[in-house]
Amino acid sequence: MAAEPLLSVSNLSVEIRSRRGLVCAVSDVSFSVQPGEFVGIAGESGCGKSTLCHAISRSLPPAATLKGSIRLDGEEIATKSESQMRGIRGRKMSMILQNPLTSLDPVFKIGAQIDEVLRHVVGLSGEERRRRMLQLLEQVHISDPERRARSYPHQLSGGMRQRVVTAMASAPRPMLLLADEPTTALDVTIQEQILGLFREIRDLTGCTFIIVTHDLGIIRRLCDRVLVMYGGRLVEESRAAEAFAHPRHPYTAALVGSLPRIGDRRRRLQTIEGGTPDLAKAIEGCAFAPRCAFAIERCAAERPLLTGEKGGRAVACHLFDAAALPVVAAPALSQVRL
Amino acid sequence: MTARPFVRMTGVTKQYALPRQSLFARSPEISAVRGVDIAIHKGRTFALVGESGCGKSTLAKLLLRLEVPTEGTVEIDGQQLSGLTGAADRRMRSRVQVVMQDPVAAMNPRERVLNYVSEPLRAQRRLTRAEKTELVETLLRQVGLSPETAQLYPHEFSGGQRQRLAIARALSVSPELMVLDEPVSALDVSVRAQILNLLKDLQEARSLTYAFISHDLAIVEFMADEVGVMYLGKIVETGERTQIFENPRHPYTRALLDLARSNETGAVPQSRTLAGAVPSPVDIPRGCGFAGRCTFAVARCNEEQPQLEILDTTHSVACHRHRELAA
Repeated sequence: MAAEPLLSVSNLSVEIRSRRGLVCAVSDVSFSVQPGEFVGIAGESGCGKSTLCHAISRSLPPAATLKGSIRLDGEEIATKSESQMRGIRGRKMSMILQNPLTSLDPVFKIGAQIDEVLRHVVGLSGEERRRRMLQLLEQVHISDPERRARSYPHQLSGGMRQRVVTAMASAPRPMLLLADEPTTALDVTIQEQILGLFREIRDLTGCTFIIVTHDLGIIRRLCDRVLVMYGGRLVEESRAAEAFAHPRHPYTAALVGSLPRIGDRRRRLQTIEGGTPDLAKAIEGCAFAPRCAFAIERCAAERPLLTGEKGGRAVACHLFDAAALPVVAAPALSQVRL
Repeated sequence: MTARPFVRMTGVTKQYALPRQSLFARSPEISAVRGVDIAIHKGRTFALVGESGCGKSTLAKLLLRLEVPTEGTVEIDGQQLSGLTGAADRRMRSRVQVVMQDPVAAMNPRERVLNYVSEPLRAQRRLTRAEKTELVETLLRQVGLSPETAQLYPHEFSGGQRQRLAIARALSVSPELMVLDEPVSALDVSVRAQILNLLKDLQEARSLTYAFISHDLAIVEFMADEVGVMYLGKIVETGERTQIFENPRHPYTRALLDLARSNETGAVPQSRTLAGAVPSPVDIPRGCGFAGRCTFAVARCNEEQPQLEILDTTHSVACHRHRELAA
């Protein structure tokens, strides 16, 4: 992990003007992603994971203001203008959205839509474009590409649409693919096909993936590392397998504990009482403190910082702050999982 | 398990007509459910699992009598649903209630909780204002909401709270059977756990019978006593929870279990990823519906439809090769 990160985000904040006032959807988020990695961003609705994803692709709504730095391949993109971004989006990074129909135009055949990407973004000539278009469809395992290229989006199943969108997004061989809930609307067997496709694309092109999802299973299956968000902030960063086996932050632990598991004989699932914080209000201290079974006085008063441990893990929790509670915290937390 | 089942579906088939392709052509039909037999015993949870289009929601509609089967019979507590009229019909409606995936779709944004929750009972009989308030407040407490919320409107609730309201509403007529159609699919993980716990508590307290529909095997294992795995309108395997989860026999059940396990272990599923997608119900294959995606399919699978074969009094599977595959 000594290599130059492909993406490094530092002190990124997004504020959105709304009728309810200024909403801090993302607050002071920093992380970096190495080339070829699969990184998952996990959290429940309203935690800011999608906003973070849109901030990185600079596709935030006009009501949002972005602060902080986003460096992609050594280049600062947080301050780029829209026209400069057009040279980066598609070429250096692409996005795959939950609903493929938002990325596909209903009145054009899918062959023509892929062709458009190849012409304007990749800049291929006519004959080459057609060859590459069919090759791309084959790469994403669409059978009979000749015929499918002449289909309209509505004639395809949900899984096939997501393949077509993946083909379009990967056509210019971007370094970074951002996928926002890419498999949420799909059936379980189709989900696995799409995940397999992502792995193939990585192996073929060395592309780096950031997957935003509320589905911890998808992260467990696909990702090397996971970033867990709560209340617009990163609360834990770790290897995906570790986050499941030994979650550190009480929120991560509670999330993992609330999942029903195969072969699990519990009579009741662990729950997290209360609701998610209102991001339109200023939060002092830890955003999770009101729902946390382990909260101490300090949690309500002082915000914990994301501090690293060995093994590339980082946790934003006072219980893991060596100065505060050196020994007691860790064993107590391990009980939380049941 | 020798007692008469509370719910019994026998040879149930449901076909829908599609729009005609041309003026003189016969309108094509799709078979959403094809010859399903199900028995659910009182106080138990029967879970239906399957992917979209497998017919699980159509079965729910048949239980709720929102649809009438093309063939076969649905009996609840010994009464055949299709024969009911008048007062008997109305009584039966109150014995079966539903909670759906998206309760907001069934909510009127301008109607207070007080009316929303009491509506099924008001359809049955007149309520005085005092009775209505008392009933709703009791129900709200039972589903873990404060009684003061009775005066609020739907938009003032979060997703999980709305699902609690939908449950309270279903309970208002003291049903015996609850049809739960993907009740937690739209909810966040931590809220999902709350609702699943609540459903279990209510079942125990009121000895409810559940028909639980889900595509998530981990949730099914947590909730169910018996499981029916559906594919393309048919039950391909059914049995008690432990039989399905510890000794799955159908290749489709096994593939689904592999996928569900990989959510926890991160391992790429052992059984090769299921290729392709579910065939269209307009054009149902002659043989086994799953043959086109099955790693183990042989010529016979494409020719002949496997029938449900009883392995054990409670465990049945519809697969030509289940014996060889078990070995």
